[in-house]
Amino acid sequence: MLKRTVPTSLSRILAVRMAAVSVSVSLLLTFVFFVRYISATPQLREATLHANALAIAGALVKGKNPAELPLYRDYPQAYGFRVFDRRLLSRRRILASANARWLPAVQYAAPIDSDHDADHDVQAVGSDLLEGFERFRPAHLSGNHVVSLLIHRVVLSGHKYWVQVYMIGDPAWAGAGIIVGKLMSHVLFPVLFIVPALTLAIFLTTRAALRPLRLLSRDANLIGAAVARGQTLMPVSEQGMVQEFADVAAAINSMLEKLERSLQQQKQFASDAAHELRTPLAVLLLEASQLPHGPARERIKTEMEELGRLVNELLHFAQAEDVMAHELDDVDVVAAARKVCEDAVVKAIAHDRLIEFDCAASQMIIPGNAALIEIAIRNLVDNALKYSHPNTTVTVKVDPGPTVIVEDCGPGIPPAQRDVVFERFWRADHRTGNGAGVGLALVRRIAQLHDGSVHLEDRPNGGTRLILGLARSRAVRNPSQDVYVA
Amino acid sequence: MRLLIIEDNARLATLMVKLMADSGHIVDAAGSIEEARAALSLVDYDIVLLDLSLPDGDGRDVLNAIRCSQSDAVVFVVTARSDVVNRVQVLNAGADDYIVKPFSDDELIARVRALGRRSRQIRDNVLTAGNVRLDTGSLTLTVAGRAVAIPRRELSVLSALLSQQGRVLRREKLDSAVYSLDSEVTDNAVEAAVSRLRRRLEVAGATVGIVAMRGIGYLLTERATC
Repeated sequence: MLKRTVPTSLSRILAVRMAAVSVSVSLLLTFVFFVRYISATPQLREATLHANALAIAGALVKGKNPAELPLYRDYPQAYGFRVFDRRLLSRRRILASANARWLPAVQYAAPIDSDHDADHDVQAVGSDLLEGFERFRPAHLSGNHVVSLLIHRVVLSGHKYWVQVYMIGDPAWAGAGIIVGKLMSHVLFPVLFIVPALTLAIFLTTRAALRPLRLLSRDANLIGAAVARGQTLMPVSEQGMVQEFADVAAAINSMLEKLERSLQQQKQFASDAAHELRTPLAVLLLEASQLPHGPARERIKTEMEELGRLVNELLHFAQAEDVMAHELDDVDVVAAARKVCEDAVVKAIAHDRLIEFDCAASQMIIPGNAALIEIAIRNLVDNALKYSHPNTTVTVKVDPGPTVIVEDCGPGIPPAQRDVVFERFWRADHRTGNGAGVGLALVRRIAQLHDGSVHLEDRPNGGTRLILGLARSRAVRNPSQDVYVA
Repeated sequence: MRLLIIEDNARLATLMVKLMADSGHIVDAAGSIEEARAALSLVDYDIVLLDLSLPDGDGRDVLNAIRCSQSDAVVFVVTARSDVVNRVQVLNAGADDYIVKPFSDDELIARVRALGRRSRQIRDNVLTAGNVRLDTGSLTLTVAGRAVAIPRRELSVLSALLSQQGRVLRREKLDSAVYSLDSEVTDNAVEAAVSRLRRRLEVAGATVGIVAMRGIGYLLTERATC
């Protein structure tokens, strides 16, 4: 058996691909951003010191000693600061400081800390504070160390602070936080908003663009159903289609038209052929009756009758779909089954068999075609009469559903053959030349045309049980004429 | 019985004429609507066998013409055109019976005989089957020429069965035939009457029997085989 996979919709594929591309682009952006920041040390240092200054001011506002911040406590060699209350040299006081030896010395009345280094040659000592960032390499410091120094005025909750912060290298990776922050604000947030919005937009756009295609596929499904139910092939809609799809729809319609014409021709051919065969067959059959009595004459007559039956069935097969498409009405399945039984009685008696009809309801109405339903039931009954043993009874039962059950006491049909009996030109025994022909295939076709099915099972006490299920009936009437829904 | 066979296929017409003549009928043949009209205007036929597709038109026109005329001829449609719905249409148009080509000689003979019997019985008030003869006017039954006494209820059962020869008599119809005679019948009165009638016919040596088909009805058979 072929496993059928459910196809994915185009809108979905496009949306998923769009999302994937967006994610890749944002990852690339992140990488570029990261590399750029890592390589641009001065900018990173300035931004880091800026953040440190703010953190120091924040601690002061909260009444904490910023010198206790882990950065200054754990890396006294690398980070330090000093906070003044005013800019002017003459009036300023140190509010807090830590590891301040790399900062220019200040002269004022009472320095709080003892870290100040008189030998400091970095900056003009004893000047007014000016906001700014600079980098220098002190002569006495070994290696490639560069000191980054920032003087920044912070206004926080009504307090004004002049903060001097420095760093030598970045052993605590304080710059990483800055990079992450920048990444978040410059890359991640935009991506987070843009990608879903774009994906949704693409999904909706493709959906809208593919709507005509969906309409086409819906119409195509209707065509499938129409073929199964034997209805006329309706053209697909060309209304409201954009040019590209309108062309496709027009192409499909011209194809459908040709197909419909060819189907009609095929049916017409079968119908004409059947009709044309009948009169010569009638002549042959009557000619045969002119032959002298004897087994040969009887054999010829039997074969001719069989041929006539086959022609009839082929004609019915060819016409069934057309009849179903044009002659729909309410059909009483009980009446149809009863009529078939009554018609079959004479034949049954002639072949030493009995027929029994069993139905509790007096009426079961379904939409359909009475002539076709009678043909289906007649074929089942004829089949049962043909294959059952003499002096047995064929039972026809109509159950709610409606379901027509025909039971015989024949030899039964082996399980392996139960499906093939419904195929055209299948015969129980090829050697006898007498068989189902298209009879049961026609039953199946008629069942399908009525949204039903036919199947076969063993009769409990031997024999065959054929079950013809038809479309759900609208109402069933029991003998007391109460209407109830089946 | 006077028969008219309207059939355009010359060979089939010849064979049908021979077949019908051999079974004791007086037969004419017409190959077109024109010939058929001419024949019908000259002779009062009992049964008309009518092909629907004729070279100069539709056989249904002949059917309409017969139904519109004073003729009480029985029309038996013989056609190659058995569309699924055609049968109902033709019967509705006033045909008495319908047979589709091809058919066997036995079937045609039997159907024509049944039709002939029906038309004759309506005229003569005498119902017959095998060696059984029921005069519905004088309400007398004879089997093989001997008069047989029969109660009223059984007589109405037999009369219903005889008038429905070759076809099934529905149980409901039999019920109503019996109930109309006697308002005191019980549910199994009909079955009792049928079984008494069956015995009576058997004792009298009738060549017909009554077969009961459960759920369907009763049927009179020439030879009681079941």
